[in-house]
Amino acid sequence: MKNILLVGAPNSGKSALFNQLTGLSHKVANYPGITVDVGTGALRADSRLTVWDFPGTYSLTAVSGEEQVAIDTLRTALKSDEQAVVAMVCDATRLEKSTTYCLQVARECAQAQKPFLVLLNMMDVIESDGLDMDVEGLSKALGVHVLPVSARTGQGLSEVEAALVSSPPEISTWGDTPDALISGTATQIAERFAPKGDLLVRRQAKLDSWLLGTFSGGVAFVMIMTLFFQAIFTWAAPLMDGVESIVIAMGSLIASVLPDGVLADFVNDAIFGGLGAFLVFAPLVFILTMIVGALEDSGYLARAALICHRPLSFFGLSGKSFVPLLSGVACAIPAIYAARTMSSRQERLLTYVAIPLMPCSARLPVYALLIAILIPDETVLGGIIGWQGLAMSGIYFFGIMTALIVAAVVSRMGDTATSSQAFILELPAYRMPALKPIMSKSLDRVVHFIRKAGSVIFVVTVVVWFLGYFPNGGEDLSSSWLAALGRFIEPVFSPLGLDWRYGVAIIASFLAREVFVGTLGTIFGIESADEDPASLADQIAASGLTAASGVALVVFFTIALQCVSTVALLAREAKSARFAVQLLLGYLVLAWLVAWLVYSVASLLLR
Amino acid sequence: MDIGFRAGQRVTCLMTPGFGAPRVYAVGGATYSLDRATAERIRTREPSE
Repeated sequence: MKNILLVGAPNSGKSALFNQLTGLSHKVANYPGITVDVGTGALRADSRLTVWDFPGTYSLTAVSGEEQVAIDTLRTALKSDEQAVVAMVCDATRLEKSTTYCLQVARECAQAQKPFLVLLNMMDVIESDGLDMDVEGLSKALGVHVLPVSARTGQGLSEVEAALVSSPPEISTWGDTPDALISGTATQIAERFAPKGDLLVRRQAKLDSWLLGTFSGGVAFVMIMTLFFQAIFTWAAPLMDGVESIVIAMGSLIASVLPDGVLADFVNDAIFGGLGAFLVFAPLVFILTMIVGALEDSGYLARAALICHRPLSFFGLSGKSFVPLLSGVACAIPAIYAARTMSSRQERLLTYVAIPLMPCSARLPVYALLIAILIPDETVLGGIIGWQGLAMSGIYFFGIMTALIVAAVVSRMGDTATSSQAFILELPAYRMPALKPIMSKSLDRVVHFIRKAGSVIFVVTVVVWFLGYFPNGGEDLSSSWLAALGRFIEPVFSPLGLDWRYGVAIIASFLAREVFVGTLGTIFGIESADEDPASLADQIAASGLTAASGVALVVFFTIALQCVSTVALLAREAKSARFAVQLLLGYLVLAWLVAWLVYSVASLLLR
Repeated sequence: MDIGFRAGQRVTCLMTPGFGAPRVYAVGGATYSLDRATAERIRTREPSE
C-alpha cells in the first residue's frame, strides 16, 4: 500500500483537494484551521493508494495540539518503511506563506528518502485575475516537480492523479541544507515567483474596510446574523410544511388500510406520531447547514471572529472562540473539535464550557415546536419579518448570551481568562460560496441527523408507546404504565407547570434532545387515537399547555446538556471525565432553577 | 510559527478595525490580524531609513 501525504499551510485547500482526489467529503471551509485531525481515503484513480489529509501548519514547529498531531504523524510516516509520497499543497495566491514550510518538508523527505512534489493550488484565481505564475521556473528553483491545480474547479486534477499513480516524483536534493539557507532561499523564491502586484490584497482590503469598519462592520454583522436566524425559520417553513403534510397523509392512508387493532395503533402512534413528528424538522437542519456552509466558504467568518475579539474578551474568551461557538449553532460535536486549534488549554476549556449552551440544531425541533404552539404565525413589515422568526432569534440570543455569561463567570472564578493569550488570525481571501459542495454537505448532515437521532428516537418511541398503550389497549393513557412512571417523576417538573407527559419526554431527551419531540408525538398520538390526524403543535396547544410553562420549557432546553455524545466527547477532549460530569450536572441544576424562575415570573405577569 | 514575518520583509498595516479589534497587516501576499502584544514583538523600521 502506497500513501500520499497531503501537507501544507492552513487554508491552502488541502481538504478540498483531498475530497477531489478521494471522492469523500471532509469538512472544508474558507477559514484557517478547519482540519483538526488526520483523515484518510483511497485515491479515486487507483484505490491501492491511500491519501492522507493533514491539519494545516505554518512550519515544522507546532504551536497547537492539532499542529503537533500533524507534525508527529508526518514524521512517523516518513520514518516508516511503507512507501509514501509527500505532496505539499501551496496556495498559489499566497505563495510567501508556504515557501519556508515547503523547503523544511522537502529537506525531511530527502533525509528520509521519500519522494516529494508541490501541488500549486488555487490556479483558477491566478488565471481569472490575469496574474502571472512561472510554474516551470518555480519547479526548477525548488528542484522538485510542481503541478498547477485547482481543487475548486478540478482543473489540473487528472495530471495530478496521473503523476501520483504512474510516475512517482523524485527525491529532492535539500537533504543537507541548514536552517539559515532554507529561510533565505524561501524568501528569494517567494519574491521571485509569487504573483506580482497586490491586486488580491487590495481587493480584499476594500471589502475589509467596509466589513471591519466600526459602523459599517457592526451593521453588516447584525444584518448577516439576523438574516441567518430569520432564514433558518422562514426558508425552512415551506419544506417543513411539505414533510408534515406527507407524514400526515401517509399516516391516514396506512391507517385506513390496516385493520383496527394493536398494529394499526402502533403504526399510527409510534411510527407516524413519534418518528414522523421528528422527521418534520429535518429541513431545518438542512437550511441551517447550508447557511453556515455559505458563511464558512465566503471568508467572512474570520472577519466576524476578528470584530468579536474584543467583545468576547470581556467574557474571558477571544476571537479564536468565535468559530467553535458558531459551529456549536449547528452541532456541539464539530464545535468541540474546532476548539482544538486553540493553543492554550485554558482557552480551550473555557470554550468547552460555553459550547454546550450554544443553540445547536438538536434543540431546533424543540424550539420550533414550542414556537409553533406559543407564537402566532403572522408577519410584519410587509411580510419581511415573521413573529415566529423573531422568537427564534430571541431564543438564540438568549442561548448565546447565557453561554457568554457562564463563560465570564467561570473565567473570573478560576485561572481561565484568555485575554493574555497571543492573538494571530489569518484573514483568508473572500470568495463566492460554491453551491454544489455546500448542498452536498447539507444533505450529508441531514442524513447523519436522521440516522443518529432517528435510531435512538425509534427505540424510545417504541418503548414509550408500549408503556403508554398497555395494559388497557390505548383506551386510557392516564391509567397506563407510562402514566404511573410519569407520575413518579412529576414532582420534579410540576414546579414548572408541566405534567407527567412532559416529564417523561424531558427524561427521554437526555439521550438526545430531538427525542423530546418524538416522545411527545407518541404520547399525544395515543391520547388522540380516534381523532382526526393533526400536527403535534395543534394537539399540544389544544391540550392546554400554558404560555408560562412553554417558556419554562424553552429555558430548560436552552441550558440543559441533554446529549450523551457531547458529554462523552467533552470528557475525551478535555482529558477529564470530572469536567464533563460537572458540566452535565451543573447545567441540569442551572436549567431547572432558571426555568423555575422564569415560570414563576411569567405566571405572575400572564395571569 | 512562520507566517512570513522574516528579516527584510515589507509589512503594511492595512487597517485598524472597529470594536477595538486587533490591527490587520499585509505581509507577503497574506493578511493577518495580530494583537498589540504580539505585534510589538516584531521589530520594524520605515522603508526610507
